[in-house]
Amino acid sequence: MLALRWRVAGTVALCATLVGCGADEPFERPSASTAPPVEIAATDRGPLIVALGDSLTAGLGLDADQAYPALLHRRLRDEGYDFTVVNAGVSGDTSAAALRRAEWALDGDVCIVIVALGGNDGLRGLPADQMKQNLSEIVSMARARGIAVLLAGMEAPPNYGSTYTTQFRQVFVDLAQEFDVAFMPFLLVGVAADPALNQPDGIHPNLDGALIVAARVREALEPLLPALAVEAP
Amino acid sequence: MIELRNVSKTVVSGTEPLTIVQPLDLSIAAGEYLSIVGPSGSGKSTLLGLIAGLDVPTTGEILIDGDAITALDEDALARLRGRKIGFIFQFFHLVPSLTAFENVLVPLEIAGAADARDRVTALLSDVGLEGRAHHYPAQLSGGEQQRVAIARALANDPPILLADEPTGNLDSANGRHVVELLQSVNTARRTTIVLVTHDTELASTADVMLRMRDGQAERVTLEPEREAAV
Amino acid sequence: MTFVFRMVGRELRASWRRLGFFFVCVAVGVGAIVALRSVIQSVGVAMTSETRALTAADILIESGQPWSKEALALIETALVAEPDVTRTASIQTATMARPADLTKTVAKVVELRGVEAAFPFYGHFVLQDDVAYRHDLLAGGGALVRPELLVQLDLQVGDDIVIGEGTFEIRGVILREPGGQLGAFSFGPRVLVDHEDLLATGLLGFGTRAERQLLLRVPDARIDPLVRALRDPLRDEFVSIRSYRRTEDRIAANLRRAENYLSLIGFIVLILGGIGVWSVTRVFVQQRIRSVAILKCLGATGGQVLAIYVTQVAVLAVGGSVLGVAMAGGVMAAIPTAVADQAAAAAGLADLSYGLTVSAVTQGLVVGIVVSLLFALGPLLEMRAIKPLALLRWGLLPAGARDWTQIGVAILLAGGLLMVASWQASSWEAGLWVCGGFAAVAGVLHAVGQGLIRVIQPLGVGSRFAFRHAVLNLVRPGNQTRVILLAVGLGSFFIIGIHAVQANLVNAFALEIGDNPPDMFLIDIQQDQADGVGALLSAQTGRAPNLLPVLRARVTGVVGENTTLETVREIRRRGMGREYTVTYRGALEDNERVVDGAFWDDTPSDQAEVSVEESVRSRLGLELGDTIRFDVLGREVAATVSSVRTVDWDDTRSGGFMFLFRPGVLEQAPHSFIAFVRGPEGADARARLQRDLVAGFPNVSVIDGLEVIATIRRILDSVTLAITIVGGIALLSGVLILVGSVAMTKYQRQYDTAIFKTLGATSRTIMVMLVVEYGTLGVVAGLVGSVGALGLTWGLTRFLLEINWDPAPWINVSGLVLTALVVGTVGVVSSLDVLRKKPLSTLQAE
Repeated sequence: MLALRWRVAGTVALCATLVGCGADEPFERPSASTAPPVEIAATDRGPLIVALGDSLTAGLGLDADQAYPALLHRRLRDEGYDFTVVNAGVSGDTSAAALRRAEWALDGDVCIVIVALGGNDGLRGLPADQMKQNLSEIVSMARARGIAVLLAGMEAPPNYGSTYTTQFRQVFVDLAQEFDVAFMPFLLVGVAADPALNQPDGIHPNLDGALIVAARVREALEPLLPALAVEAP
Repeated sequence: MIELRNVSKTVVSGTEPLTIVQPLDLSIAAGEYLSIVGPSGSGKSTLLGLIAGLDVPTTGEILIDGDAITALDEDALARLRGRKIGFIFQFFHLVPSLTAFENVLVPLEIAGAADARDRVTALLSDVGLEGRAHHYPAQLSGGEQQRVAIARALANDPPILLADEPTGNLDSANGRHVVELLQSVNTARRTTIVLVTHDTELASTADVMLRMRDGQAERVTLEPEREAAV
Repeated sequence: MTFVFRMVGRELRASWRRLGFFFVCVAVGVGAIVALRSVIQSVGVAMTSETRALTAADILIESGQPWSKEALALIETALVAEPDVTRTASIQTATMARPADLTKTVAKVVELRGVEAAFPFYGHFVLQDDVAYRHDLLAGGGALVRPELLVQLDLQVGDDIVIGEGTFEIRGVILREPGGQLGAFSFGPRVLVDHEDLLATGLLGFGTRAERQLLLRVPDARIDPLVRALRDPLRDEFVSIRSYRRTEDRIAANLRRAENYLSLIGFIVLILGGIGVWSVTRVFVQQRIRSVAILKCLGATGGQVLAIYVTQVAVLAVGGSVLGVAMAGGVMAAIPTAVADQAAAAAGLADLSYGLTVSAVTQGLVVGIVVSLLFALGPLLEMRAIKPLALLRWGLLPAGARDWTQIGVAILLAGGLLMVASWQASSWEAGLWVCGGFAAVAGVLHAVGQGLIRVIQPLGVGSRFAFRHAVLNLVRPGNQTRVILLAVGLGSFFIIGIHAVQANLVNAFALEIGDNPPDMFLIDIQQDQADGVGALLSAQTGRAPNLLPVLRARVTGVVGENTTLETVREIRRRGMGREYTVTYRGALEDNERVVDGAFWDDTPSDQAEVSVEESVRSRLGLELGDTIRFDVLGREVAATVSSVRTVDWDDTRSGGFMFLFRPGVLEQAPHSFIAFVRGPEGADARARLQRDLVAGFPNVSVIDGLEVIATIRRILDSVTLAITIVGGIALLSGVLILVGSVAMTKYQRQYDTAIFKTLGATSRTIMVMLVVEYGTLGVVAGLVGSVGALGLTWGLTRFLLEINWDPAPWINVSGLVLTALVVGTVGVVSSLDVLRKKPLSTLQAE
């Protein structure tokens, strides 16, 4: 996702188009090796946990098995759970975009969805009420399908001013209350803005950061697991 | 004093070697007036070229005042010509971009003569061209051009004067004028003259006549009375 | 020595008319060099100031994070050694701005920049109502804003806006801004405030996304060393350091291209001038054979003779060069009026002064004299071989013996050319291409000359008189066939080459900009919004927008004839592991070409089909009919490779995609659209469009590239204009030089012509003879030249300019025809006076 990323992305895109940079991906630096989805043998698929998110979920800049959903998957397996964590992160997605593909992403034997969105909304300073609307529709859709929801919050960068950042933060708090879903106030808690845990762009976690994110998400999932737990072998 | 020792010239024409001048020994004394006659292609002009160092003999050597010119390089030959040899050509060969005066001046300048301009004036008046000094060759008649050429040839007062068909391009009156000039030069300055011509009558004005035929040279002694008759 | 000088004086006096040709040839060559160098230097200065204005500094140090103590210390250390460096700081961040008037509740994302009093080091602000920019407008809570913001927030100059904790008074409207950095597109309009005021907004807290910049003004020579000195120690800090010259965007690349092209032209014109001088000197020497022989007969040494003519050439070269400079001055003075209209259109040209520069004049003079002497030396040295014997035997031309001095001179000439090449074309690569082309074409022309003589020799028997004699003239030894072939062939090679390269370059520039380039970029348009956005855009821009569907996909496997890739690791090893943006459509775009297989028709298919870019085929070792497995948002899509495309990446107005899908499958996957549109004219209309878009489709972001496009257009327009002017001058002087070298050959012909007339040939017969003779030479020379030019253009566009090669056949064909026409016409026309003259005068003059 995020700020610098977006700057660069926009730059490359426009440049590609208007001036003819010759890159085929308007949204991403060509060099970045993004995380492919976790490879899961068909026979191995248990009930699905879908991580619906942006580049923080997709694991931009990390290898396939280093994005936090993959780490979470391994973690859960190690703990004996039979879940398969699906990475449904798309770099650059805003809450609006994610809403449109939620149906696609939530198709199948999904028992939990981790909604980790808003980063790109915040970076672009999109209206907070719109984001709230989009996210509530996603949560409602999951609910309607009987899918448990973990809502992960996001912070808008302080450069947008306290009015906006406060509004932005409140969206997640309000949604968590309204829908009474599992909630972690900030996906990147303890990771954001720490150079040791982030890639040089200052936005995307590196492997150490992703491990922390996976651990935090695992903790936040706790309330949802007992109901669904599959007996450890 | 010009000496030719066993001088011959052979050129390759096509694949056939062609001897233009058969081996020849010849000695021309200082102050002598020698004419070379023969039909076209008999080798007389080639012989003159060899004497002037303009051409290199196939065999033999040529000495001028005891120095073998066949051993000299181009520039040494040029300097030798500038000092010792004057030339007169059938086609005058004046430098077209120079006036009559300047054409005569050039050899003096090359030699670095001190009183060059006075001498040019004198020379032009000797050949009767006082009034034409500042005309270009194209503005002069054939006879006048040839007289400029003679003046130029005499500019450095060379001991040797070589003339190649000097009257060949002139009418008889102008031709006679040129011949008289040459004779007077020979008499007055004791200049050695070698004259090439196909005109026997002109040739007979010389002290000695060399007749060439098919590259062979043969000395013809002239009768004193004929000499007197001219 | 006095003899030499006197002779020089006399010859010049007597034959100034003929020498005049030589004189003019040198003058044209030098004039072209001086004029071109001056234009090139002016353009260079203008381009430098434009590129500098893009960064507003010589060196830009940037950090996306707050300056670390270490980084600042390292920067200080590097700058201590540079006493002449001036610096200023700037901060840039995206933020929210809202009117201070609380009844207006809208907030708008803006791109806020804080600058100090020293900003900008280069370039100028253009403010509305011709207000002059000064830092006072910012100091103490002032702000300058883009006009869009006023419309979007319904504000006027004098109103207050709130940004973070700060309130700012709008004191002016920015129309053009230096240091905007072409690459940095933003989601909001610019708001410019004082650096201190920005710090006081409280926006720069922990986690803020802001770009901190340090702008440096550095003496020219210190720029690169300082960049190096900074980069090395700062390697481990998250800091980027670049000089204005290293702006890694397309515009800089294009400016470099233009520079390369221009210096190349300077070099080529030099060679053209050299060829002209060479062919003229040759004729000059041939006319002097008799005089040389006479002088040698009269006792002048080879050295003296050489000195006489070298001095003559030198005098003419100096005179010609001076005249050339004067001519160049005239041409340059004429340029501004000639292009006044265009200049007005391309406002950037106002900065472009078309005056003679001192260095161009010096260069022209030195080059004119040196090249004249170098090129004349070859023919002049032939004089050494002239034997006075020629006076006794006509037609004795210098023997063909190997003359080591001449070979030495040839080497000297080649070396000299290379030296001049390195001087003129600042790129060795360009120099090598041109020198290589020069040598190759000269070699071919020599061979063709020989071949031509052999081929047409049989034609000299039996045909019509005029024709037969034309042929005989061409094959006769010691004639002008080879000289004209060489001079004209090389000349047309360069002229056609220059022109074709110019066409290619201008074409490339036009592609960059296009006639109506899109200047607004919309992202994140969702499927259900596509129709609405489309309708809104159509209504407000007057054009139906082109919405491109974009999806993200990764390759997860290949099942193919040659390659089977099962795991992501294998894919990654082939360099295809990243996420690709893919699209689907029923037709090819202009910048695409199918090189293998067949592209689908317009009908959708539920069998997934994909068309891959050529590079993908080679990386994955694909064959037509192979299957690629894609992961599209977590679903597997197996698509058959049905065609292979090449994409012209330089022309991506319609985007460029590695993978293109047949419609019918991906429509079902969630995806968004992007759109490139040409926004409406006028800041108000644009602002309204943005406002309406945001109101109706809040997630859609609009990036306005108008100013960027305008800057690019301004730069490219002025560069294109400069290139066209330079190309025009080069073309004109090239033709003049050719005319000169052909016309010179008439002196070799007038004697023959006079004899033919004496023998009863009519003017008509002689004309036909001349037409056939010169026409043949023109066609052959033009043919070799234009084929060579194809090669030159190919090499230069591909390797030096790195743009697409368009063979531009019409340039080559018309070049060929024109060469033949020019040579034929000039050959005949220049001999007209000989035809008119009474033969006797010519014969006597000889």
